[in-house]
Amino acid sequence: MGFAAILILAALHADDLELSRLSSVEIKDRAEAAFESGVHHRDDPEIARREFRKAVTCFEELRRRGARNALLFRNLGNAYFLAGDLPYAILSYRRGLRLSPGDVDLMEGLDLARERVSYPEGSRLGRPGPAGHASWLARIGGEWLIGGAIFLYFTACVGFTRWLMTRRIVLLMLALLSVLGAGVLTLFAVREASKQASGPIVVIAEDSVLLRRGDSLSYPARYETPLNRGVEGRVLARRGNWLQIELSGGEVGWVMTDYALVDDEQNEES
Amino acid sequence: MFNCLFHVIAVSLLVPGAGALADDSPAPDDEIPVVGRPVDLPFSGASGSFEIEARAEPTTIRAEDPIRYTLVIRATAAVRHPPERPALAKLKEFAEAFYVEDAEEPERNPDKQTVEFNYRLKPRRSDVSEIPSVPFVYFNPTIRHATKAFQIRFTDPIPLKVESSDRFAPVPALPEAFYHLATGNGLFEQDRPFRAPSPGSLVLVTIFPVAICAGWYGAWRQLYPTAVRRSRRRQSAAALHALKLLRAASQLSMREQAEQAAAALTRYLHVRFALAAADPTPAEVAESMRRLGVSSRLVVMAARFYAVCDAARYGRSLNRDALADAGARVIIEVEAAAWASQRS
Repeated sequence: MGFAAILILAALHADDLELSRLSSVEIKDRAEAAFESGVHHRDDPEIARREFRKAVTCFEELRRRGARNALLFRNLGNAYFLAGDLPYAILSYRRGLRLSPGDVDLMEGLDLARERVSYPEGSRLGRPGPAGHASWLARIGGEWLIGGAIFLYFTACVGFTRWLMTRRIVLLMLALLSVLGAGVLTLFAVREASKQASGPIVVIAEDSVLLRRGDSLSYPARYETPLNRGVEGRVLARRGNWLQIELSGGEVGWVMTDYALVDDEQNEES
Repeated sequence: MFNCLFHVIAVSLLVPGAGALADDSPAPDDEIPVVGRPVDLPFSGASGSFEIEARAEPTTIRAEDPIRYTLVIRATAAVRHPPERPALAKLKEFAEAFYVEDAEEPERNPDKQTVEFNYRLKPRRSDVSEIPSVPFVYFNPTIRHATKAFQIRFTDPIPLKVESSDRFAPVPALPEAFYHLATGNGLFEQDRPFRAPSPGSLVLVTIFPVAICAGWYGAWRQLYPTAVRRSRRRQSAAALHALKLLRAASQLSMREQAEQAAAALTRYLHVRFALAAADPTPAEVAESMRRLGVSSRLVVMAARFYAVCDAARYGRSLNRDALADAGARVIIEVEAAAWASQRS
């Protein structure tokens, strides 16, 4: 029994070792082949899931090597989703959307994944937003907001200069409106940036996880309703192997790290 | 049905001299006493000597998938009463862990001494790890003491592996786009999430357009001066030109100098005050300047200059430098007055 376990572990480790020897292009090819095989065996869930998991392993290896982009996270999210790992699928889509907030494919994937999260009936606990969508500001993306603000500011400068040259009141009005627009966009961009800098994303990894009042099992549950796999929130604090999290509705409580997936990349980046 | 059949078979085959019992009328010594029955376990109603075992197929399943569970009761001696079908649903351990349903073939007799009871069990949860043992209580009539004659046998518990239903659940049916991967070298890119610009870059971004526009405005002012500015520059140029001519004229003869000095000042005044006459007399110059609102002091100065020039033209001897100085003074005074009025 023990020997068998050692053999299995050795085989898994050998897989990792093998991947680490391959180039990124080879890993990508391997991931694509495994994914295609999974799609091909769609009618046999066991084989399909195994293949999708292989694809996941390869894409995760690319991520481990530093690749961070919306395309990779979209592939990763889809592979996790098809492999039946809903929490990781949601986490992957959220990671991708942090890089590319307006990505339609990622949003569609996240929406579909959220549809499969079993939220308790008659309770709004853990449900994302009114419609489960990111705000239109988040979709535009901070870069575009800042770009728009710079453009409007430049337009205002040009308008004011032309007004000095021609003294046409229309140009002065245009300049003033542009300054106003630039200010508003800058405020929105700052707001988005501060939101990005807020606590890392957390996704509940197990079913029936209770949100507790403190960082120990001896604390009572804050809500009677348990959280299920795929419920999202953000990390407010860490203490030992406990996380203080805030759900989308503002509910705050503690969960064990064993029951949650945390986007630690967010910490590394900030 | 089975009960009767089993009873007949058991009694006829296993019990020596049991033929008298074949008519289903139990002998008085077949009666099962009430005394001594276990109170906490269900009595099977069986009388005789029995062995029991359990089988389950499959033993690796997902939650709520059915298991075919079989209890095999084998008679090892004469059977006075066959066993009744054990009610598993009434056993607490079963009721908590399984949904108990009847199988398609609830009972069967593989041989004359054996009866099999079949059930369909469905684990209620994924953490169910075994099928618990089933107690089988029967009466052994060969044991004389009634309280000890009720025997209990247990089946062995059967380990069970209930896997998460994910493994068996169908692959999620997603839109076709989900089955196509994004490919290309874009997968290797290292993007970064949006961050607010640093204060330094914000200052740069703020100053840069202002600087560009200030430069543009300055250039525009140079390239496209307003009518006033263009006029001012032209006037300044005329003054400079007139002063240059006055200085140059000092090298000429007195007559020529007087003519050139008068011509230089006339051209200047023509530009500055739009003086109409090409070769005005001192009175005409004074009249034109007065009409244009020039101060009387300047009018007098200009008229005096023209008078001196006329005198020099007609043979009167003068200091060469005095003529040039007088012309220059008129020009400088006019320019000074013009700048003063623009500032005010």
